[in-house]
Amino acid sequence: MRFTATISLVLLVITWMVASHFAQSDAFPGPVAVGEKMIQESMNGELWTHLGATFTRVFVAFGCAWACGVVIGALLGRSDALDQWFWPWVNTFLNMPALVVIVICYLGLGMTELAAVLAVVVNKTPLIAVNVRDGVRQFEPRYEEFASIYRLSWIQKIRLIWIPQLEPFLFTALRTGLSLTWKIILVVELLGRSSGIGFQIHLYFQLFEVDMILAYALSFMIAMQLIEWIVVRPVEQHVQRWRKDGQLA
Amino acid sequence: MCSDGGKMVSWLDCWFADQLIIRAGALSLDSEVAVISGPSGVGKTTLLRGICRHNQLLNPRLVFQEPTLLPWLSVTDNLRAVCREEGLQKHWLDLFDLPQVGALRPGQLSLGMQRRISIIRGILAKPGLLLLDEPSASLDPENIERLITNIRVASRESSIPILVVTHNPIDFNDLEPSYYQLVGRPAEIFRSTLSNRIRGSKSSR
Repeated sequence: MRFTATISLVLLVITWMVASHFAQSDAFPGPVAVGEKMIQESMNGELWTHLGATFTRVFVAFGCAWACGVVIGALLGRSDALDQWFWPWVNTFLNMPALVVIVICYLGLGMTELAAVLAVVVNKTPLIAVNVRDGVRQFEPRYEEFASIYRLSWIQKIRLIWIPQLEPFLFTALRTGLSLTWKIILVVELLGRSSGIGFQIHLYFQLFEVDMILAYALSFMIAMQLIEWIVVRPVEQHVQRWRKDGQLA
Repeated sequence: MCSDGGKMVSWLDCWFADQLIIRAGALSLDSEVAVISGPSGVGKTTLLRGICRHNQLLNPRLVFQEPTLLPWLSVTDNLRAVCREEGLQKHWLDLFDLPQVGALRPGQLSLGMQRRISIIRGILAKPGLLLLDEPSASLDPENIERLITNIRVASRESSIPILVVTHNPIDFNDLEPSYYQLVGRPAEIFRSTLSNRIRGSKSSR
């Protein structure tokens, strides 16, 4: 599986190389040219500065969106009344184009860091909320009954019963949320920040340097994928190892 | 507490979806173990819930038919959720002949073991009354024997009165319990005797 995936990626790079060779255009540089730019930018430190700026925004914005989304989702999932009243709100924000939110935030708050982060939080919170709401609705009533008969405290209920049942949904929210957040952040940076990958893409768009655009975009894609492999997936597998118990018995 | 030293357990009418399932009643737990039997669907679990609700002073704990051990926690952590005294945990796991299971998770254990561990969890919560819902259901004879041995030990060591509901009262004959039957619709409870396979239902509580 992993072997096939690796070969498949290598084939993709080869296809890219061949295609750009035949295109013979500045607008479509090959992997070698892009790789050279990546090395050049990482050697002179520019790449790390902008990667860092974008990463900070991604984690601050996503952290806030995740926290808000979990609270809203949990409330809507637990209470039918709240769900009936506020679900249309969530749904409205879910369907509001990211670009509109970004532009409105910049107009309202100026071209500031706060506006940039707020735009992403407003745009991504509903997605997390929907996931968590679905998770809360699938709670097993028998664990609730156990908790009430055995008089578990609120803290015990949250820690021992709710969070473990929510885990798969929290991870889905984390994964999809994170991958969507960073793509939005690039737009936010492109429109109104003076640092970050999105800003660099804007800069080299004006200079018509496609190899630099690809070098920055690719670096960030690789960085995000590494986070998935090195952090998210191992944590998820560790936390959810009990799900495989039944298969052993 | 009642004059004969037994505990009185009572309950109100139990309804399920606009239908009266169980009439209000009471029984005195004069022996350590009482067994309530009745056919499937008569409302045995409903009765247990009713008893739980109406006898809060006794601090009742219900051991569910479907083991509700939390599958994401080890046995030790499951028990710790209701009782932090590790010595006591170990004491009961040893008494129930389950000394090696502490680090395992419920999904790695058989149904019989999960049931017996949930009984330990019930005891560790220090109730004044322990209710067991169909503890012998879908267990093989060997596991039923272990379960009965454990219930006997639990009753003697903890002196917590134990109330079992079952559709198969013969399983519990070795415990020499007092027998009750749930009969009718809405169901009422009657004292009964059980000798081998013949259950004669006698009247009165």
